[in-house]
Amino acid sequence: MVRTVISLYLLCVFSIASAQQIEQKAIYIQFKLDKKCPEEQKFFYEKEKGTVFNLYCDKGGSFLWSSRSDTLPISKLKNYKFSTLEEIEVLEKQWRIKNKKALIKRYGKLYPPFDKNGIFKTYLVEVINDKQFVIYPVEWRGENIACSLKEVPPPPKK
Amino acid sequence: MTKTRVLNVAFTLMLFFFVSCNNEDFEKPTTAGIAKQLQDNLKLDQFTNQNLVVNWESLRKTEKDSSEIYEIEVTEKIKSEMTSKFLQKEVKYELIAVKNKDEVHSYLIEAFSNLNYETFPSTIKNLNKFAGTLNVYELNGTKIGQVVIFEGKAEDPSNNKFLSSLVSTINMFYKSNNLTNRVPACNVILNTYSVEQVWTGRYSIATLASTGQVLSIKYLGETLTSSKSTLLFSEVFPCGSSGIHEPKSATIHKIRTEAYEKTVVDDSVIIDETLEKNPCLYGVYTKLGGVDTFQKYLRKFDNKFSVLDLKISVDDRYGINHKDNLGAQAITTIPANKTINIIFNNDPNLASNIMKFPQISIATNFIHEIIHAEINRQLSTASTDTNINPTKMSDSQWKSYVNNIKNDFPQMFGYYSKYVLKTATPSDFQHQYMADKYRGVIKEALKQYDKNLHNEDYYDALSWNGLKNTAAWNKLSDTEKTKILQTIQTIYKNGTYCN
Repeated sequence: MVRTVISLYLLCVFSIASAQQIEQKAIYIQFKLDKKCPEEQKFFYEKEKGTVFNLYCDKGGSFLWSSRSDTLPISKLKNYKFSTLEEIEVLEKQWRIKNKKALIKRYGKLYPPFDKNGIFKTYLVEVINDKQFVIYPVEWRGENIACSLKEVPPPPKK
Repeated sequence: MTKTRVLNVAFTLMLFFFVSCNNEDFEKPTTAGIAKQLQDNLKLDQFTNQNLVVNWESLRKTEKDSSEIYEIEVTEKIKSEMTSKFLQKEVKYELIAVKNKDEVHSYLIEAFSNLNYETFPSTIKNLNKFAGTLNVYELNGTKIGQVVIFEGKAEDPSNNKFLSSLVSTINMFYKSNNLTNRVPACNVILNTYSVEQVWTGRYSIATLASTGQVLSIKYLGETLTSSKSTLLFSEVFPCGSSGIHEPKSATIHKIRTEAYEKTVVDDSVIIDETLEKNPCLYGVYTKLGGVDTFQKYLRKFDNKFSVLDLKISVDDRYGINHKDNLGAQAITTIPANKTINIIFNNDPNLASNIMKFPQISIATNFIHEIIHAEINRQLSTASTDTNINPTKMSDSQWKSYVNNIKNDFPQMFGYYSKYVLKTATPSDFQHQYMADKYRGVIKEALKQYDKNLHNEDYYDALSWNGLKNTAAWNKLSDTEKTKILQTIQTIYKNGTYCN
């Protein structure tokens, strides 16, 4: 009886442990409006039924927020470590290497190519005034693109 | 007072007399029976021109010489225009029924108006200032023949007995402008010859498969054919005059016909209005609709067999809406909400705007993206719910998905396995697969689109569009790569642009 209980306990612990081995990593990105940017960086996008946050004016980094958000006092901002896009690329590779064995164990020889939304729990942080900031759980846009056809354009017409 | 009343009555009677005389063709209310018969018999879907719509409310009835003439307005949904040295731009249509005793003859006519004359006035009752040609059709779309009209006088050069009722009906309303009409007319039968010149305008019409909705009509050009035939002409001249002494010169009938190249575009492909409103991209898309290879892939999205739709749109705010793919001319999404989206970049602020490329490159992009859509469609058939994003799959869904790809698409699976599954740094496998397996398809489609006007190198260079980061490209020698890139630059330099 005792042996059975211990076995069940160990099985339970093992299951939880193995399930926890493949975990999404929480990352925080600071969103600041670029005052020089002539384009909208934060707008509601009907087609995707959510608010788009374009991190930069002139390069990638686009996120969709479509669920609840939290507003927190500015004093808590120091508790968050923000990542840059370059750092996130490194973190992504690290995550794949770290989880390779667990992924193969769980899914067989061929493991699924999780995208950034599978690897990370991503939060955008926006300071809205000198007393508060908002934290938005977001999804990476552009992860559902099968093709992005990029060719060098012809030179501009004279 | 009495005298005045008598005069008034006399004047009223005279007025009534004149009005009666002038109103032989007095219009009476519409006849429901004829309208119903016409509605039942008219098979617009069997006409080559699928662009017609009948305004049944416009039915007009006219009685003349014991005949009843019914005329109904027919218009084009999308107005087409003629380009001709002899004919006016506007082509008009009318539905006509002629009831004589118990016989009813009905026709759908297509009227071409000669330049320097009035446009066909949408009635056959008042053609005195009209000259032109009527293409005459049965109500099931079969062409009967042509009637040539000169200042109200109708002729049937082919003496087709099925046109005689229409010709005689038109001629009932013929009023000669010649002063000699005032004296009794004499007839003479002349044996003369006629030259028939047939201008055949060629059009390409693209329609949707199920609804028949016309997507576009494109004028392709015209050809002229001439034929000479001997005809008996009945010549009218005033009795007592000298009649016709001079040898009659050839009568030239300039007849206009049309030939249509019909393209049926599958309608499970959702054409967003942003594409429809872009004449350049829509023009390329429509022209591609006539290419077998392109159509083959479009058909895969037929709703009867596929649970996925393909939506093609154009984004003028691409730079804001798709910040993650700023350098792309087009993107294809994986299925979401049972739809695969192809989005073209038409952002005027971006150098990557598709409109800054020549038309042949745009066609290449369409073909390239449609192949991605097809690969995605195939992958979605391996999934239990069309989702192909592993991040959004359960463990069991994922295992089933991979097994299904392996079994159903073994060749594709090889690429998926190599570039996605067996590596900690997965990369785009679709372009690798396309570079090896689909470049031939791309070239073939381009040749059909371009009517093979260029050499093999031209199409080969274009087929590498979007595939230059692949193993297949890297296998090429530097000389080969340089040659391809130079060919592309030449295409960019000499190609036809929309703007």
